[in-house]
Amino acid sequence: MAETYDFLFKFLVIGSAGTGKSCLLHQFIENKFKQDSNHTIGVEFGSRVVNVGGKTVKLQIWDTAGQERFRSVTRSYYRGAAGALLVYDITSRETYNSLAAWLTDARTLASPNIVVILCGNKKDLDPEREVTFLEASRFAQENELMFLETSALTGENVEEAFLKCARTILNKIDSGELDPERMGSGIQYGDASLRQLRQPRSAQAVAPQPCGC
Amino acid sequence: MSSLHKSRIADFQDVLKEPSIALEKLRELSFSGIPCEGGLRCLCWKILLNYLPLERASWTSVLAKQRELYAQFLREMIIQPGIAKANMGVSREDVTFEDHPLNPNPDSRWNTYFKDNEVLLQIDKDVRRLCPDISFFQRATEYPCLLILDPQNEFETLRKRVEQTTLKSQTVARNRSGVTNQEQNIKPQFFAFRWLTLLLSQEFLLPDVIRIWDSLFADDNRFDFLLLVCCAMLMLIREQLMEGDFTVNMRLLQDYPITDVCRILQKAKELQDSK
Repeated sequence: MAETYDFLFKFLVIGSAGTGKSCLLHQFIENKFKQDSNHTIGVEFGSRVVNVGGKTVKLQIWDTAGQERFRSVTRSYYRGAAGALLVYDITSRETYNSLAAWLTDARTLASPNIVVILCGNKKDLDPEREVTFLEASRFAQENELMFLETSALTGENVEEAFLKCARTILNKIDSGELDPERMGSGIQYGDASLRQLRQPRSAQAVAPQPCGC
Repeated sequence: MSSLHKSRIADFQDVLKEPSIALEKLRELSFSGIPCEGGLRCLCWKILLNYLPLERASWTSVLAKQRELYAQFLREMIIQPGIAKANMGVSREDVTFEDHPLNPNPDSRWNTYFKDNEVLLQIDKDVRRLCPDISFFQRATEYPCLLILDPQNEFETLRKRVEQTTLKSQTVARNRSGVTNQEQNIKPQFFAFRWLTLLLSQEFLLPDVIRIWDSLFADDNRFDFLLLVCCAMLMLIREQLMEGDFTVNMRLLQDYPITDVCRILQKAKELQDSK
């Protein structure tokens, strides 16, 4: 049961109902498409340890309900998230139009520094497309989001979306832009990184003193 | 069929054949599970849920009245608006100042009508994927559907409020009362929200869910007992919860490991009796 990892990141998957949030999570964790996926009631959890740029990161993913009537309860899950997949359905303009509201929720309730990747899901349904790639990438640029079109059905770009978000968070930790020790950062050190942090000091202590002679 | 089971059925039949049903006795029997033979369960649920009165003599007339009321709702909310729209569509009048299908106004009755149709489709989809293995959910039911599916009424609609009735704010408020509070900050709304709002229907297999509902409906204070069932579920996996980390525990709570619902109900009953 004991897993070692350097960091643990809290991730959210948010967006309107029926955009495929649970299916994206299922594809990421099980490598399978989830047929007959039900509406999520409240929240569901998933976790996976991934390797990003030489670091092992445990992603603790909170897959939230998209239905409006759950809005008040889903908001209570946002606190302290480090990253989010903001999902819309490329075949539904309505889900695209509500992105701004979801984004505001994420930035006010989770953290203003939350790293968000916009996912235009159901890429496999291109003939029914209602939102162009260009339009969505402009929206992403204006709102400082990363952007990918994904397909939970074929698995295309699903792994990439999660990894890209994790990689950006790691980069921000490295550059000092994100402080994992700040309350509500959504980032925790894992056993492995604690060991590494301790090691330099203990190594120093037992290091043989240079011989004076 | 075991003799024990036979005698249970006989017990129910005895209670149900009285001119006036002894509700306390029926509750007591139902609490331990209702046999599914001979339509016993649906009759008992109707009485327990106050759909049928305790006086046997009035059942036929009450049932007829309830069905007529339901049919009337269908006519008013689904069929009439459909016909009205169909008529509006065929008459070639100047629609400039009237409501018309392309009217973007949110107050437009056409607009509501299209949205209602989306809801109908969604309900249909939800029902079909609910339990795809059970044939009941794959076919039309005998009684009310014929009325809706009457090919004469091509324009079907359903008021949006139907969608809302499934969730009452009451339930949300209740889950905040907190079933448990553990270390790791696993809050009740992370798992108990679904347990409570869906009366545990997503946590167990359908036949087991129905068995739990026998006890819930039989209880005088049905939702108090639901809370006790949830507590029992937590207590039965207490040891595992004490050992696991956040992720392991959330998985346990979202994919509940015990399938023997009788054990859970027994524990809940113990809690109730010890109060």
